[in-house]
Amino acid sequence: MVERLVLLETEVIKYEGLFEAKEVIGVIKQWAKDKGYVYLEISHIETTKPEGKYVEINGMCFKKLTDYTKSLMRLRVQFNDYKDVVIDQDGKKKKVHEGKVAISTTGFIETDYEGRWESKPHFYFMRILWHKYVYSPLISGHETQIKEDVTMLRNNVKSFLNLTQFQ
Amino acid sequence: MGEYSIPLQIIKHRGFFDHEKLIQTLQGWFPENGYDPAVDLKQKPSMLRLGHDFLYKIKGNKKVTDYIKFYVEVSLKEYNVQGVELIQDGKKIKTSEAEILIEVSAKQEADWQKKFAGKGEFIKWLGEILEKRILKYRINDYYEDKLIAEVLGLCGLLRDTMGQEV
Repeated sequence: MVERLVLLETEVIKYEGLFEAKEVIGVIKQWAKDKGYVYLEISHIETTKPEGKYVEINGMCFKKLTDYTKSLMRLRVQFNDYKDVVIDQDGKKKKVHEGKVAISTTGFIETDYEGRWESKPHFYFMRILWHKYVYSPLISGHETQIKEDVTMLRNNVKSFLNLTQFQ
Repeated sequence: MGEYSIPLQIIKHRGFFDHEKLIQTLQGWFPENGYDPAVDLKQKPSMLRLGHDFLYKIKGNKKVTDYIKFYVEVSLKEYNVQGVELIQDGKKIKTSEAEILIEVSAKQEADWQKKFAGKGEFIKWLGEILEKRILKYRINDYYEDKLIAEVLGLCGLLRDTMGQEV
C-alpha cells in the first residue's frame, strides 16, 4: 500500500476583494507547469446563489520523483459569494470579480506508490530496512524539494493576491 | 494485460446551460479526438428521461498503438431540468436550468490484443517483461500524461459549454 506522509500541514490562504478567478487558477497551473507537476482537478463545482457565485475546485498536483517516491499536493480552491464588477484600469473598462477566495494546500510525499514492496512479507521487511538506512538521505532530499515546491506555490499565490507582508 | 486508470474527474454545475449544445459537444469530442464510436450495446450512448431528470452515458475507446488502448467514459446526470427564458442583451434566449453532475473516467490498457495472454508461461513472462520493464515509463509517464491531457481537454470543453467561468 502507498505510504503517504504529510510534509507541510494544510495552510489556508484567505483573501477578500477584487480578483480574476481564471488568473488565480492560472497561477497554480503555471507553477505546476514550471515545476513539472501534473495538475488534475478531481472535482469542479460551480453554482449560482442569490448572494453570488460559488466555485469549489478540489485538485491535486503530483510528480513522480523516482520509481519509489512521488510528490503530491492536495489543493482546494474556493471562490465564495463573488460577483462580476466593472473597473476602470488605465482608462479601459475591465470585468473582474469581487468576493472571497480561500485556497488550502497540503504537501505530501508518497513512498512505494507502485505497491511493489508489499507483495510478500520479506519484501516488506527489506523495504523498511532500505527505506530507513539506505534510501533515507535521498528521501530527505526529496522531502526538502517538495517543501520548497509547495512553499513556492503558496508564496506565488500570496504575491498574486497581494497578501505578502513586508516587515 | 494491465489496466491503468487515472483519477475520476467530477464536474458539478448548478444554473443555466444549453442542454442540446452540451450533448452535441460531448458526442462530437469522441470522433474529433480519434475515439471509435460506440459499437456494442454496452458502449452505445444510453438516454433515459426520468421526469425532469436526464441521464446520459457515453463510452469510447481509441487504439493508440498495437499495444496501448485508451478508454474514456462520461456519465452525465441532469437533475431538476427546467426550461427557462433568459433576456440577454435585450434578446430572449431559450435555455435550461438544472443541477448537473458529470463524471469522467479514463483508463489505458496494455496488450489490448491479448498477444501475450494465455499462450504459455514463457510468452506470458515475456509480456510482463515488456510491460513492467521495457515499456514501463512509456506507459506510466508518456501515455498516462497523454490520456490525462485528453481528459482535461474534455473537461475544459464541457465546462466552457456549460458557461462555467473558472
